[in-house]
Amino acid sequence: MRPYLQHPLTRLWLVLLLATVLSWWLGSDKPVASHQAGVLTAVSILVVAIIKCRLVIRNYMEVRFAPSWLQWTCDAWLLLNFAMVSSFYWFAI
Amino acid sequence: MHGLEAPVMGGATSRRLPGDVNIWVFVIGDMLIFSAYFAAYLFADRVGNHELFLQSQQYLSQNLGFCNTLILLTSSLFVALGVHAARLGDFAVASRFLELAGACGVVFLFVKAYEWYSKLVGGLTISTNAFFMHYYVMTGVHVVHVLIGLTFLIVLWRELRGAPTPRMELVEAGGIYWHMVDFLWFLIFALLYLMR
Repeated sequence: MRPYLQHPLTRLWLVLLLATVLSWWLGSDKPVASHQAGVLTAVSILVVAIIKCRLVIRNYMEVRFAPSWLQWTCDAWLLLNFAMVSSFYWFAI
Repeated sequence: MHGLEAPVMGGATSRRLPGDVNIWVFVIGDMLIFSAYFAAYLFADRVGNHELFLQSQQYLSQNLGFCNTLILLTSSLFVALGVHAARLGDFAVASRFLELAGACGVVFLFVKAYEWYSKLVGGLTISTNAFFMHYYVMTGVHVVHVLIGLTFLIVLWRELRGAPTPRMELVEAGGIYWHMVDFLWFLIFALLYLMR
């Protein structure tokens, strides 16, 4: 088991774990200085989530070794979600 | 991320499709369906009644959502290591990793059940308001995906334990599905629990 626990996949898990702690901290109830500051915090949480998704897709799902059409499709989906969600936060209210 | 080497197949490293094309058609379709659902949720929130959504969001436990994120994250690691071990021909270790991943999936379901129960006894049901309608439907659809993923893991476990030469395409496809369940939760956690 030990070689597996020292595998780069395990180190990536640690990075994902720390990123989750960061987004949890960003999302915890804190006084917000202004509406814009609140939107900025929300978009920061979104960015962390998108980065985590991309790390899982490229490394755990091994898309980084896949044909380029699949890499582009996955990145396009991530970009679509980022653009859609952040637009709602920036422009809807 | 440096240091994550290419999967080794027969001693050669090459650009290849993990799993098979069918699992990717299914996974990408599912990803798009979830995106449409995120859009519906955001429309109801930001264009509909943001104050109601903000107030309702206060009733969700960020800590339970955080715990479930760590649980799924860990299950994904076990699945990734299981696929890696299977590729090396270490099928006993691979099946053990799948057992650990499955255990994490079951714990996720228990935490989710507790979370739903605590809301329901507090009178917060699917018909309470638009936010809780989205909350129960989105997390419910995700739970269905977890259940399908657990079934997939059992199929893989049997393949690794029983087949003389386990089919790597099947093992990879199961892993891909499970990771999708994991990363879709990242976005659900961010949208429902964290982003105000």
